[in-house]
Amino acid sequence: MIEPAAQEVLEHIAAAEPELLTGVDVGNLGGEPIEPGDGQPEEADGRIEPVYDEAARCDIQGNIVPGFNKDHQHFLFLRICDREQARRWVAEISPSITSMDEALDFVREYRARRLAEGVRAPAGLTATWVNIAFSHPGIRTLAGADEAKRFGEESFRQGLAARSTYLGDPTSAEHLGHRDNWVVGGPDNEADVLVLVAADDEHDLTARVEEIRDGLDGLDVVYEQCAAALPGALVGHEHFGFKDGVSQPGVRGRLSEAPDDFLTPRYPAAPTAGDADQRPTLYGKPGQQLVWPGQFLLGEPRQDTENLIDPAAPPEPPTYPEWARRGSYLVCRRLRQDVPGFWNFAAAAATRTGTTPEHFASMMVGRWPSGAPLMRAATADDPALAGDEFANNNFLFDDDTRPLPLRPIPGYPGDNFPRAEGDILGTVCPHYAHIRKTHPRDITTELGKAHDSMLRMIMRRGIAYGEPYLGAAYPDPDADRGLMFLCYGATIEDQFEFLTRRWSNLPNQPNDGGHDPVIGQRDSHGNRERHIDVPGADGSTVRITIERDWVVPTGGGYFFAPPISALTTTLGGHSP
Amino acid sequence: MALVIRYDTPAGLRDVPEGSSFYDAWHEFVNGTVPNSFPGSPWIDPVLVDVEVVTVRTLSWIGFPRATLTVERRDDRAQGFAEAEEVGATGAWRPRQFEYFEWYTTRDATGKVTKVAFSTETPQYFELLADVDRERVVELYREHVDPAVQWDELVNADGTYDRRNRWTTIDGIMHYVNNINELNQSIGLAQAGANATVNSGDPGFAPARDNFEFPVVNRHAADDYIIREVAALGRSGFDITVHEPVGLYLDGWDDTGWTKPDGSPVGDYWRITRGRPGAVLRLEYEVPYEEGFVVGDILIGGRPVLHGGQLAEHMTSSLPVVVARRSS
Repeated sequence: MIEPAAQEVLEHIAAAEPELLTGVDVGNLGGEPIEPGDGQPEEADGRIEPVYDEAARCDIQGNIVPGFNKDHQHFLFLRICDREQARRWVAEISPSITSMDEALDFVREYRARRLAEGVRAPAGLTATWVNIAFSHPGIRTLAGADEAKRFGEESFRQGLAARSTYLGDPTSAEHLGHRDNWVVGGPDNEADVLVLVAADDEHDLTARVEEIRDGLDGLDVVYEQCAAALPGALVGHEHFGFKDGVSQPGVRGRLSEAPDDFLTPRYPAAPTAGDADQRPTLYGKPGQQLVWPGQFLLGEPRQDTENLIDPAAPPEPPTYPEWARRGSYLVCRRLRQDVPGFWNFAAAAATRTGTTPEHFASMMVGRWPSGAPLMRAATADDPALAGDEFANNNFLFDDDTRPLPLRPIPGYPGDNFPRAEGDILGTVCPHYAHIRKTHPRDITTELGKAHDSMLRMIMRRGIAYGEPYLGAAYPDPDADRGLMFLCYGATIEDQFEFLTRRWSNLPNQPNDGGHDPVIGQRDSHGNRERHIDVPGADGSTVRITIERDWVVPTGGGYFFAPPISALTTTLGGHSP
Repeated sequence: MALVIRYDTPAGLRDVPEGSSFYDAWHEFVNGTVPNSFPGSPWIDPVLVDVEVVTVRTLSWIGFPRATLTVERRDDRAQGFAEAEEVGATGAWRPRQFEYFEWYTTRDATGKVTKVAFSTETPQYFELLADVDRERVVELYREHVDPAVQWDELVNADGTYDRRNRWTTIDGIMHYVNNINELNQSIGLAQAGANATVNSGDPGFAPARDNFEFPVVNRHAADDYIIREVAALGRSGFDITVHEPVGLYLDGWDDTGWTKPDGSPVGDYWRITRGRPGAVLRLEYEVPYEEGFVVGDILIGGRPVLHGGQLAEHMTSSLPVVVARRSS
């Protein structure tokens, strides 16, 4: 049962006005395009970002980039029962697969309408989208063992169930989170194919899912999961009540040869002559690090291990089959959340450390429920900061964050929020805070330098599932609710698994201070206790032990989202 | 008050009786390294300068060489694990084990890994010890490396201790042998980080304002980590110095997801054989005989242990420093 102090916080969050939960828009930015050219930093010789022309954009699945970001989603986990029929089905569904091009068109129109109409969600503009991904056994069945062997990503070949305890998941079969108990993706119920359907309208989603389900040929449904953004003002929040997905990497790349036609818009002003400041070429928006596309799309220029700005070549020889170029690995984790467990802990620990439950829980996350970062709002939530996309990621952890001049943005009043001051000892945003553990930005890590951290970034595409606790009159505290965690990357081992095993699950990495108290998992010889070292104002710390799991893995899988062209060649159609 | 009156040995080791001149020699060695810094640098000499301690910061980095794991073998980690185990040859022993962290892998007749020994001990320590008590050095080698070790096998032609003798290179490990793994080198990196915050007045060499601006040092995790972290502490207004007992330590080891041949989780097979919890200098990983299998039968995340480096990937070594403010 939930404790009264915790219940009070949840009621406070659920009852808040929309602007307190979703942030306050900084204005419609005038609805005018930003002047191209002047002030835009020039790319140095040899650092020309790749152009994703229409053909390329139509081949890349849209949930990788720019992302579906739909409020209603449905996951179909499928098992192949007849290879030839399944190959035909894959080819037949290929025209329905939503590409980067289609998603970008929608995003462009959505943004234009939003700016023109001055509303958060333009009426009548809806879409229903589909993406698809395959497990390694699925590829082996459809394309043959030789093609499957050409995938060098060993974790993908092994699968999530085989890597589960390596990720800190429970080793005891008596634990709900043990892979034997998963609803999908366990040793006996792994899926070969994952179909993701996403829609703005719930009825559109239902209709499209039924259509796909009815048309399945050569595949059986292993499991289905419906997911939806939390209702009303809580849209974009996860079940604990915190805004999710505030920070995402900006993918480098161009949509055309036009001077300002970038996949990720660039807002910093060009540096003045003689200024060695690299930030205009490092950021899209302030705090949004630009990452080479090869971190998310196979075969593209990727981050260099020793250089923040210039790219490294793709693997040579390729560690994937040629037909897989511009595909991406997809990690799916069904993470069940114990809302009362999380907040009861926060309330008790807050009493012990002399703060409020909301502040203590925000220190666990690194952001307030609205999404405002502690680094810029140390003592109280600031929904206006949360809603300012040019400010809510504009912070470093170790050093003072210097102002970053922006190009003229019509309607934008400028970032006038308190600047983030250096917090190298983690007294404001503790070393254990989820966002400091999983996205350490400028801080040095056990790998040495921030350059390395950019190799670890993932493209998150999660969405909540299950009945909301927040805002419900009589919520069932034991209901199955949580997050369908999805992320894309060019490797599983060096990105998702690295972030999980090392930075979330270890108390001394990337900096000493405790486990990630939100998603961290630990199972050391059967011991699942975690701890956090809560900072005091005088530099001292109080160690608090976490005895309970409030994020429990209950399913998922490792998949590969291929380029759409592969659906009618290697993976689908008549067998060669 | 000053933090240090006399430098103790790493982990406070007492390999020879209290009162031995060895402890004087060790103090002199450390004291000859620690004080160096630029004028105005936040690096302080803890023997001479009074400070108020803010906190102790454990600078901690990956044990397996980053240059191999992330740079050279970014796309082929299996090859990287094999290469990192190379013992090398005269002039370049353990040529890839750069991270102030070295290991030696023991195998059975079939080539299967049976034991991995990890060390953060320095050759200087054994050189100074050999000057005072060579019998004790032999005893330590016999206890930790092989009972058959003889003094003659540990010395150069001139009778001085050979820091790259066979029992700490091709036939075992007692301490570091890679050229750059030295205690004074690691302290030098910390001093360099502190000194880098000093504005020389040369506009072409303005100090970095954050870690993104800080120039890349090299491809190793430890070097960049130590320099950058100390520089960042300096920029934040703190003074920094060594933490007693000064030493490089094995800081963490994580066997989560390691399984026995039957698929169950491994037991705790780690054994601290030099140093103490919190200040570990030597760690050995070996499966007890009664378990009926060896290290090479263990799976890490479902993958067989073929090289000691696969364990090193899940370990960290460290240099603790004191974050302080000079007393007014």
